Amino acid sequence: MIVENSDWLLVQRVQQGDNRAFDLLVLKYQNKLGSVVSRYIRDHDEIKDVVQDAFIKAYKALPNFRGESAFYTWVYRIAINTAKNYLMAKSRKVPQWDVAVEDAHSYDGSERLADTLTPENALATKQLEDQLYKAIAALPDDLKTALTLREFDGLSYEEIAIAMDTPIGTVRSRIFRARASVDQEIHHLSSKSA
Amino acid sequence: MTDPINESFSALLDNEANNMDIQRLLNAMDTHPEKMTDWKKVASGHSKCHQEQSFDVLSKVNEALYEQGEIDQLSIHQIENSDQIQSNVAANTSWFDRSKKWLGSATIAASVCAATVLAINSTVEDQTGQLNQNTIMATGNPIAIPIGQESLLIQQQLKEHYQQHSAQTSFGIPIEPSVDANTQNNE
Repeated sequence: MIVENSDWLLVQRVQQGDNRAFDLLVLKYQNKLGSVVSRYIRDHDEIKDVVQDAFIKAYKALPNFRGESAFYTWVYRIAINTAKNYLMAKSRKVPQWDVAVEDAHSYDGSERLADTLTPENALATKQLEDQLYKAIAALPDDLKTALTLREFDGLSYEEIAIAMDTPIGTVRSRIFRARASVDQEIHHLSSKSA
Repeated sequence: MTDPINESFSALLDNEANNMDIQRLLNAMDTHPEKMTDWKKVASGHSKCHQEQSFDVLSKVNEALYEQGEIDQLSIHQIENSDQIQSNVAANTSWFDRSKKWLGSATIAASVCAATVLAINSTVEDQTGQLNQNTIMATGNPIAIPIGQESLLIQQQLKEHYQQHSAQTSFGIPIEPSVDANTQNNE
């Protein structure tokens, strides 16, 4: 059975020779894969190297990807194996625990921070949480509701449209504007606190 | 105010993008490469909601795939917006790779020169005088024609030349004069 979604449309485009579609997949998943890899490796530059390597491997293997699993699940496995191989090559201890592939979609970066709760991590987590809540609180109500329903309650656009009694196009627009505002506001708060 | 391109990218993050959204995004990568900066911000906003850090590896991935010969060219976005990539590619290319490229070019140039000299000599020595030397000389212009094309033209000329002479030698068939030869004869 083929898992059909936006990713599968992009994968098909890459398989037909449109490399730009792969750029979109990288843009979509680079942060998520970075967070998964950061469960194994702490150094930011090393995480970037491993994520980069994982995407290169994925690109090379993509002609053989048949869509029997979701693209993210597939690339997630590649990233985990790349991280483990990286640690072995560096003669470092490879963790015995793993994030279940089935949980890949719902994996939340905050779990890692909870796992490695050093005082620095605890402080960074608390700061990011504070900044996030402040950024969301600063949003206009309609953007705040749309973003919250999507990011925290996991509702689809159609469900949000029904809940907010508004067209899907408006939901799309609100979620986009909310995300752009959150990023800008957190950036602003971070630079102020620095 | 709506922003259909960026909204399509936001929808892509949520697996809510359809074929039209994807086509719109792919087109925008060519026509509005600066949009990719906006997309990184939108993706960052999405990631921050899940307390994920931001990692930007797109340029490096493309650069590596390009260096490994997996893709033919860097994306327009990278060519236009990241001069650093080009300089990195140049800096990261070892002297051995550069030497190999130079040797390759020199070999092609030497082959073309040798083929041209051979063709001219064959023509000069040709007693029938029916193959127009000027035709080869005209196509041997290294400035006007790219090396590959030039080499191809010369090979074609030589092939025709040999075929004509083989036919003449084997079957005593007279060689058809070329158009230029006719023109010269008329003059």
